[in-house]
Amino acid sequence: MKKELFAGALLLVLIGLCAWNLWYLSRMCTQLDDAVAQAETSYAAGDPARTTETLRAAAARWSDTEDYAHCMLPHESTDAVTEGFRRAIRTVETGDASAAADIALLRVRIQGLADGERITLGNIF
Amino acid sequence: MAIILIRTLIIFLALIVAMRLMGKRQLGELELSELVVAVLIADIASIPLQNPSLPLSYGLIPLLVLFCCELIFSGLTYKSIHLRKLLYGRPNFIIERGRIAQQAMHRNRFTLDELTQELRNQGILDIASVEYAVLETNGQLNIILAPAQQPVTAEQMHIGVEDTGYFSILINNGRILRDNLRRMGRDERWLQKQVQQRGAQCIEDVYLLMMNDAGQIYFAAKELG
Repeated sequence: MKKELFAGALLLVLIGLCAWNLWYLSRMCTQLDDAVAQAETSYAAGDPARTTETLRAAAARWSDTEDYAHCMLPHESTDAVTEGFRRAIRTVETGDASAAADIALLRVRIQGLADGERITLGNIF
Repeated sequence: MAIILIRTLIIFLALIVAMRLMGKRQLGELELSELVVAVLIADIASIPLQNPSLPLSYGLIPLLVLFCCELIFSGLTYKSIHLRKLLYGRPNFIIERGRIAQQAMHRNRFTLDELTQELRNQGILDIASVEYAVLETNGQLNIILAPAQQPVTAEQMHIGVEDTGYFSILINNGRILRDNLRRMGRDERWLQKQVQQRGAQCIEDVYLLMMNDAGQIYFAAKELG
C-alpha cells in the first residue's frame, strides 16, 4: 500500500505543480503584456525613447524567466517572444515604419504563451 | 504542463475503456492497465527525443502521470473485487466439462481456429481430452485436461519421492555468488575443494556450479579461455 500512497501523493504534487505553473506563467505573461502595452501607448504618443526604455525593461524581465519558460513551454513559442523583443526594440530605435506592428505582434506572442497553458476544452482536445 | 497532465489522464482512461471493450484477446500476457502503460510509454518517451523544440517536461510529466496511474490502478484493483471485475472482467470458460462454450467463444470473439491453435501450442491434439479451457483476464488460455488424460503423479502411484530442493548457482562464469553460498551453509574453502575435485584449477576456470538442498552438484568447466 506504501507504493500506492506514494503514487497518489506524487500525482497530487504534480497537480499542485501544474496549478502553480499555470498561475506563475499567467502572472508572468500578464506583467510582460502590461509592460509592452505601456510601450505601445508611448509609441502611439510619439515617444520612441520611452518606448525603447519600457521595452528594454520588459525584455530584461523576460530574460530572467526565459529559462523557466523554456523548460515548460514549446521552444518555438519562447524563442518567438525573445525574437519579438529584439525586433521591436530594433525597429523602434531605427524608427522603422513596422515598429507599431512589431510591438502588436510581440503582445500577441506573449499572450499566446499563457493562452496555450490555460485549461480550456480547446487546449485539451 | 497542466494540459499535458490532463491529456495524459484522458488518454490513459480512454485506452483502458477501449482495451476493455476490445476484450481479452488484445491483452497477451499483460493486465489491462499494464498494457495501456506499455503502449503509451514507448511513444511518450520518444516525443521530446523526436522533436527537440519541445521541452523535456512534455515527456517527463506524462511518464510520471502514467507511473502514478498504473500504481494507483493496480493498488485499487488489488483491494476492490468489484473494480477488478469492472476493469479486467472475469475469466471465461471456453470449454466447460468437455463441451465448447459457444456463447463464451462468441462473446470473446474467440474463433475455433484460435482455440485449436492454442490447444496445439500446449501439445493437445484431441479436443475431447480437455475438461476445461479458461480464457484468463490477461488473455491467456489455460487448459485443464480430463481426469483420465492427466499425467499420473507419484502420490497416485504411492511412490516416495525425495525432496532434493532447489538448485542454487554457486559459481556463475568464474564468479562466486556469496549470498547463495551462505544460504547453502557452505564456505569458499569447501567450494574451492569441490572445484579441484572436479578437475578445475581455480574458481575462475568454472563456468557453472550449482547445488541443491540434497547436496547434489552440477558442474561445468569453462571451455573458452
